[in-house]
Amino acid sequence: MSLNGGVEILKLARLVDAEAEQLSYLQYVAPQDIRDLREQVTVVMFDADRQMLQRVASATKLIPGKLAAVIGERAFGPLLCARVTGLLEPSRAVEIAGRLPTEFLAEVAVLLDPRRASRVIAEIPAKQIGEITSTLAEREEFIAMGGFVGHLPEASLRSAVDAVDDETLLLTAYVLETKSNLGALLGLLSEQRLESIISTAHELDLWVEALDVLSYVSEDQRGQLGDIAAAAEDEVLDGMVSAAEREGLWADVLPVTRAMSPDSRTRFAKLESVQKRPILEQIIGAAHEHRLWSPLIGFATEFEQATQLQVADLIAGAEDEVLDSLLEVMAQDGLQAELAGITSTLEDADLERFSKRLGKRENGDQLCEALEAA
Amino acid sequence: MTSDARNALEQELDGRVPDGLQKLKDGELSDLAERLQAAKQRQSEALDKGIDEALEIVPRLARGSVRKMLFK
Repeated sequence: MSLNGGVEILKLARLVDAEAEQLSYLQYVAPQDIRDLREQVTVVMFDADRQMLQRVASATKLIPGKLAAVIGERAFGPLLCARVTGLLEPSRAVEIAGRLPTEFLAEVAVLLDPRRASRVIAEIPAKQIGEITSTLAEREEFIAMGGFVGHLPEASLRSAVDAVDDETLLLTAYVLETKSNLGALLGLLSEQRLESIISTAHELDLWVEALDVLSYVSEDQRGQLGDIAAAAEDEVLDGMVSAAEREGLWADVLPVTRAMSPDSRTRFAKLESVQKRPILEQIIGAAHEHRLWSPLIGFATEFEQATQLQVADLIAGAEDEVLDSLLEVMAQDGLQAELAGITSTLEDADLERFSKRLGKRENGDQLCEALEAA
Repeated sequence: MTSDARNALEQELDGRVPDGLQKLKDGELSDLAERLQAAKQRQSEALDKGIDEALEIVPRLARGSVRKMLFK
């Protein structure tokens, strides 16, 4: 759940009219720092020539809207129109936009800073937003579309969502400028559309994007999508497991298992592909690294006994730092009984060794007591 | 990163360079500064050209008042 460095470089490159490859030296800079730099560049670019751009905006009042549209398209071009848009009276800007061809408006949209033209964007009719979105989708302008989401009223957002296919929607959601808007975006989608999106994520191997989206939405929405995925064919879930293994996405998957219904969690836990030892090792590693022990324990309680034994074996053989972190979360979240249920599957001799080890660790006595009770 | 390269970028940014960019080499910071300067220059030139072309499109009757508002 973090900013994507590649996307941030792409956004910055667009601002200074460069190719992303030309700024490849930024790949070792933290994405947040690239974003901060982009914010600064945005301010500089939009503030440069501001006085003259303001005069242009004022002069627009002296001529009819139809003529302003002609000047915008033929003389100014999309870049200057993008710079002037936020300086116009919103109603005037909307009137002019209504006279411009969709193709041109799409070019302007790519160069616009939506935050500076938020009032204008909000007043553009929903139908026109749908048309512009459709053109942006054809041009694969996912970043530009992602910048508009938080500025569109619901009717416009619906129109935009209806204008794009599932693949475009997923790729746009992945590069959304403000990820906190993902919940509102997802809230507009029907159950049927969500099913279709999960299916598309599988068919086009867009699990990286889909799981990233899931990490930003509400727990309820995460659960809803998790349930939809769990209701799909085995091969869909296998695809997600395979992507999580390949891309190291277990920190995104574990919260989904926590949010889904008990039935869905049981179904997911019974999946053969998730019960392999290398996968279990990865999941435990992610649980430690991201302090996701609680969802891991919840998930592991649904495993078959043989798989629980593997989990127990991995925990018993884990380094002190890993075990201490697990025991701390167990004590904090009151998961002694659940963890004891899993680790009690160890062979007698292994369990005895593990119990002795627990005796020397902080919070270990709590698990020992729970193991005796189990 | 020397202070010269950083200063050049800070001048273009009209502000402090984000801390994380300190790991960039001088040539890379200079590249960023040059690209930003060039982008500003292109924008200014496009604005001048756009205004000239716009004035040709504006009908003669309104041209005087538009010009006055632009170049007051």
